[in-house]
Amino acid sequence: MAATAQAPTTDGQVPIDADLMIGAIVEVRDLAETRRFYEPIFRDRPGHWRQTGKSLTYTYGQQTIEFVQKPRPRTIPDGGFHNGYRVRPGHVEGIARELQAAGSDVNWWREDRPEEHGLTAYLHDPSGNIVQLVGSDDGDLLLDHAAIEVHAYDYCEHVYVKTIGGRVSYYHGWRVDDEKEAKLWGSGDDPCAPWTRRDNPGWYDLVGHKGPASEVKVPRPVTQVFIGFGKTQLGMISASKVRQELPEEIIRGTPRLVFRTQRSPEDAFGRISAVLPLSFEHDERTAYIRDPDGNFLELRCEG
Amino acid sequence: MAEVESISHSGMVAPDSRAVHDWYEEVLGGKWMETVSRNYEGTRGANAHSCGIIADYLYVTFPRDRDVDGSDVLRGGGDSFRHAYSVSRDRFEGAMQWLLDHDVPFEGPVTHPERGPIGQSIYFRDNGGNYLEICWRRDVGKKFNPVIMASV
Repeated sequence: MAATAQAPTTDGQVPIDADLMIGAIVEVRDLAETRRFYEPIFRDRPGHWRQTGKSLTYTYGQQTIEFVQKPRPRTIPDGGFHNGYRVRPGHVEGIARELQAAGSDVNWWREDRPEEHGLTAYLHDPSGNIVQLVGSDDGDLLLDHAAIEVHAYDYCEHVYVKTIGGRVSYYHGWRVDDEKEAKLWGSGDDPCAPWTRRDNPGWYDLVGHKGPASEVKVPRPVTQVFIGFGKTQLGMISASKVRQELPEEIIRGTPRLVFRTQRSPEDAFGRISAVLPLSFEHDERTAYIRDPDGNFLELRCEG
Repeated sequence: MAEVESISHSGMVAPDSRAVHDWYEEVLGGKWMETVSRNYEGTRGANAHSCGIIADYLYVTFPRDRDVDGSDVLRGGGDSFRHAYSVSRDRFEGAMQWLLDHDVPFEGPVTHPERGPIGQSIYFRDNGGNYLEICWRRDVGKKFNPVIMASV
């Protein structure tokens, strides 16, 4: 395995100050079944649907969720990749029940970010995307947060913090208390979302063990870093699997998160060029970036 | 003889290893080098394990629970174990001011014996309770610094 290179430094560089996650582009198999699934969730934040060709969008205020139809959608139904949508707190259970009656699976889990400590409903949409219902009386937003899987934390923090200007709001897995909580989960007493914990022995845990490695149980917290963009959050979840990425020349891929900056395109593109040691693409007002773990994002310049 | 060359790195422990890492950046000018080393992965994924550098000194951080002295103890604790960084004599005052500006309490400066290698030291702790020292050396201009014993 190749040695890990040092993360680039950006001394003296000022990031772009992206101030909101204004949407997500999600791959789905069928637009009609997708709309049927999301309508009960989104009706809590009344907006408008629009369908053109193989694209279905839902816009609420400043945010737009776009569903693009693909024959084999890129979804991660068994990892940390998920979107959290806001609904009124008193509606979480009813929406979950309605979707369950329509055939969706519902799990009641919690996560580690303080705002996500309470149990809430997690579902798979018909294409396999994980959806979290986030109870919130703040009616400003539809998309509360999105979570992606990463392997290379330093490089990804370089993209989301040092390049586009998010701020680390919470991290998990660096504290003794996080390790103690993981042991509680290991004993079966803590309904954590599965991507937040893992039974994860290291080589030293296996030394001297005579039986199969699967017998060795070492509960650990999954490393997580949350990055704030205004009222929205991006969660970076340590990946426990290696997944096939799209070919490396694809920069404008999906699924994709959409961020906003108040800077002008010239200013933003110049700063990206100065700070990011990766190629990126842009059109008139939008930059397209692929992070070092193959997650896609776009940055819309409103200045 | 083991024929070791020098100290390579230290493992710093704290209840919150990322917080202590941030402290080394903000207060001591450290540079974050790497969060997760693949060599330290478990069999089912990586665990947070960060390392950084201060000048040519490499440190790694681990979350660990341990009993530490109260925050009023600034110098060495029971076993006097600490990491000491050196600055030039010219920068020593600046280092003290830097700690004051960052609300880091310290003890000193303590002036060492005149014929010893170390001129003055200040003693303080990081936010994980690890003991630290900043000193300037009298023998800094020498090409090779043999160990000399202080005469008191």
